[in-house]
Amino acid sequence: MNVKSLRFRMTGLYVLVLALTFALSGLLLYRLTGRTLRGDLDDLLELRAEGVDASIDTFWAVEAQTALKDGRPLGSTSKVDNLDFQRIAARWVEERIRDPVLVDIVVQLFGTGGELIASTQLVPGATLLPFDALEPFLSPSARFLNIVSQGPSGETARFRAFTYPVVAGGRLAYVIRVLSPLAPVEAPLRALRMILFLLLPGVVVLSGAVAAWLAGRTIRPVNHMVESARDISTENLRVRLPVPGTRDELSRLAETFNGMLDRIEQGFSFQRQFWEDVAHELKTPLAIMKGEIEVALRCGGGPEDREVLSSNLEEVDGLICLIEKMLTLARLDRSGAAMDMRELDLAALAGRAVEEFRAVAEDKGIRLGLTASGAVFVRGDDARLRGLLYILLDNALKFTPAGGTVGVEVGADGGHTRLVVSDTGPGIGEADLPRIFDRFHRAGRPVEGGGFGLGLSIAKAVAESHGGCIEVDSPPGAGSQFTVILPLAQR
Amino acid sequence: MRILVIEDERKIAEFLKKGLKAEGYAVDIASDGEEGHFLAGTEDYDLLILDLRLPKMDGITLCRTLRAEKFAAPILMLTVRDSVKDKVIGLDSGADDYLTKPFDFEELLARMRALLRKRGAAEATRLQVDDLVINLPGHTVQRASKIISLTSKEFALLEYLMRNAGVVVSRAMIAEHVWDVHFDSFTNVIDVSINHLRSKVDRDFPKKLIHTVRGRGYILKA
Repeated sequence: MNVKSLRFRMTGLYVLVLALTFALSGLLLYRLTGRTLRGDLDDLLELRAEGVDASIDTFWAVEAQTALKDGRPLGSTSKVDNLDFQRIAARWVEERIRDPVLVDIVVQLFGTGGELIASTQLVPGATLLPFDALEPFLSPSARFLNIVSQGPSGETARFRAFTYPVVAGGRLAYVIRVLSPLAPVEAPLRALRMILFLLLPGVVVLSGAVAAWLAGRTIRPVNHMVESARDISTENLRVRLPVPGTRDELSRLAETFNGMLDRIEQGFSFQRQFWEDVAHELKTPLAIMKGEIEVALRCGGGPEDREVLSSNLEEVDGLICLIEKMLTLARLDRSGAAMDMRELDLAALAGRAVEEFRAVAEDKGIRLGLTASGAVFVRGDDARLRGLLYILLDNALKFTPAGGTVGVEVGADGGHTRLVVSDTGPGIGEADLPRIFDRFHRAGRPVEGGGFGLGLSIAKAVAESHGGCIEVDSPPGAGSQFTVILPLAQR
Repeated sequence: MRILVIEDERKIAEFLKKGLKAEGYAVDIASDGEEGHFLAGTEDYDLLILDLRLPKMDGITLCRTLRAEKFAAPILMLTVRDSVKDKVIGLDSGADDYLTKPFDFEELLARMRALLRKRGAAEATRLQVDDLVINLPGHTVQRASKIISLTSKEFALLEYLMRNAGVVVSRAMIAEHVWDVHFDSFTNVIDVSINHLRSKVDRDFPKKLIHTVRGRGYILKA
């Protein structure tokens, strides 16, 4: 996957935002739930401790009354340092141990020395009070403690403990501690943690995958557009981008692009039409110049005049030749150029062209050979394809020195025909190679008899108007090699 | 021979008139379709040179009208339009030949001669210039009773030169008539073929028949 692709970045950003949101809200939820559960437990413990305190007070009152009624002296009516406390505490525990309010709550009573006086249940490992810290009677936050109780066989249980010092007259009388197992608080928190750590990442991964798929779906029309746009060139301006039927930004983008292409195509066709018109308009004045010069030359005149007229005629003929070529190119460029398409044997066509140029090759002392493995049929315009062959052969013979070889090879591979014209000339310079098919490009090599540098661009236009292409290869010191690839005729 | 030139481009009409007169033709000029139609109906012409783009009545319509009126003389069309389709339309409307502007004046003369000849006696089977004789059906060539053997292209080239004996033929004309090619990549082929033909026809004889006319082309003359 391309890390820079829009799809990747969109998905990545989405997953990141989702994960952050989930993590933050998960953390918040966990914290809040924990605090609420603990707070509730602490409130309950505080409430119970106060209840225990009140109920012990009731015992004190009853004890005091009974003593008064019996006329028996009470050790002391003060809670502090009361020797009867141990007895009262034991009685209280015995009486209240079945109080449903105290189910799940352990009440411990400690003396001022930190010794356990009575307990509703035995909680192993929680029988001591960190007593030195009870002075001065504990701050409200220090009253709460978490205690780990360990049984004889090693099992542990966690408890929340609330220490409630009972103070009378500014002195510590005894200490009530209530404990409640932490399991009812910790179990839901554990479950919540599980949900947050397993479920949320799962949801993030899943929705990331869905987001990637959705982003891919959204982006797919863009990829189609890119593929279509790649096929658009100045020679092939007819291609339009596919417009997704979604009536969204992407379909508007495609429509806008197509509108722009319409205007560009119009501009190009206007330009082509313009050059075609210019070429046409030039034909009449050139016809006049040529005719007048030719007639003047036929009708005598002094030798000096004839010299000038002949020279003019050569230039006019050159111009006419140029205009014919420009018209040829303009017509080939216009898709749907009026061409006489028939099924032709390219091998036979090449064979005839080679025979026509054989005399020229022999004159220059060049070996001219044809290699063809049999008939190769293409759909094409006979005159245009012959022209293409003549241009390539003429070029090859022009640049090959005496004793060299020019070879023409026709073959088929796959659904295509390959026509190769190779020579053993000096080859084409590296600087010229990419521009050899450009219009009006004249390679650094000297051209005998001028020329406008349009021959090879016409060859290219012919190949392209037949749905094919032309390539050139010129390894240093190994001559040059032109390859024309045309589609085979559908038989 | 009397020729009617129907051409609205004054300068073209003028050089045609001047050049054709120098060749011994009598020439009338009409500068629009209606005038051309009128003249063609009143005078007796051996050949019409007809421009396609004309005011008042265009060349195709005029050509059809004339043929519908049983106008018999050959018609040579002149036009700047050179697509195959245009040529077919022109020839279908009743024209005998079709020449695109700009053209070689020699080409025009050659075509006119061919058109005028067609009207005359049956096609010749034998052409002779000086002591050079070619027999068309038999494809044989003789010079001073010596048989010369030629390839078929050389024979076609010699035939074209002999049909136009005494006038200059340009390389473009040769390319078009002998090879049916309109590409200037072909000039080398023509020059080499002429040289080969020369070596067979002229080399062993003191009198040379095939001559090069610098900047214009070739001529075969006694």
